[in-house]
Amino acid sequence: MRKLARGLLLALLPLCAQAAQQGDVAPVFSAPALEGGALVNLADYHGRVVLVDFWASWCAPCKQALEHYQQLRRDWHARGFEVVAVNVDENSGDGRRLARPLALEFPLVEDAKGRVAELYAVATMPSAYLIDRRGVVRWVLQGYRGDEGAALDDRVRKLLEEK
Amino acid sequence: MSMRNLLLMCACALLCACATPKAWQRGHLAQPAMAWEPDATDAAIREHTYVSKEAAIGGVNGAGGGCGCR
Repeated sequence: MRKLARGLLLALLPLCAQAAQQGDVAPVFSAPALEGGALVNLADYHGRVVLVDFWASWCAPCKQALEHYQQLRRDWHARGFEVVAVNVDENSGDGRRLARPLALEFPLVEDAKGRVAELYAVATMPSAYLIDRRGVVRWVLQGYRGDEGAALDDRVRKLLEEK
Repeated sequence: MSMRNLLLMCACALLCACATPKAWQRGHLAQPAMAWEPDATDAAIREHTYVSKEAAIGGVNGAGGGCGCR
């Protein structure tokens, strides 16, 4: 009976999964690149300021956000900023079709099974996690309205100034 | 409450067939066919006709008199 109770408790544990929040150490992941090839490891970007963005082809604001992050990366990449965009389309081909015309310059990750999204317990699409040089989540951006430009730019600049 | 009843209740709770899709699993729900009103123009025309015809009995907005000229 005690074993059964333990089993049930273990079964319930995933229901208590906590979303990655401000101040938490960012969950590290390794996932295939959207266009194939080598795996993308978040750990490889340790020491940089990283924006992990979750997006899908069926999410209209996600496209706007990707275009914004493309510009943000162009502005700050030389100072140590990177964007890692995680595509959660069940059919990764849909994600590729949206991404190709945008000619995104940052790493795109395939997460068709939602494993990485589960790791971060993403609550809204799109969601972006701004991670500092030490790997700590410093800001969580849920949704995208289009007026985040100045605030995000300011936060990235401040994090890049931190050593 | 005995341990057995407690476990039975937990098991029943886990058997629930209704699950809320996670944020990243809503691709099917986002398809145009899943929209409440897939065609906004068609919906506006239908509503206009409905209001015009039903206004006399207190339709959607209670406006107009059946002529469709509100």
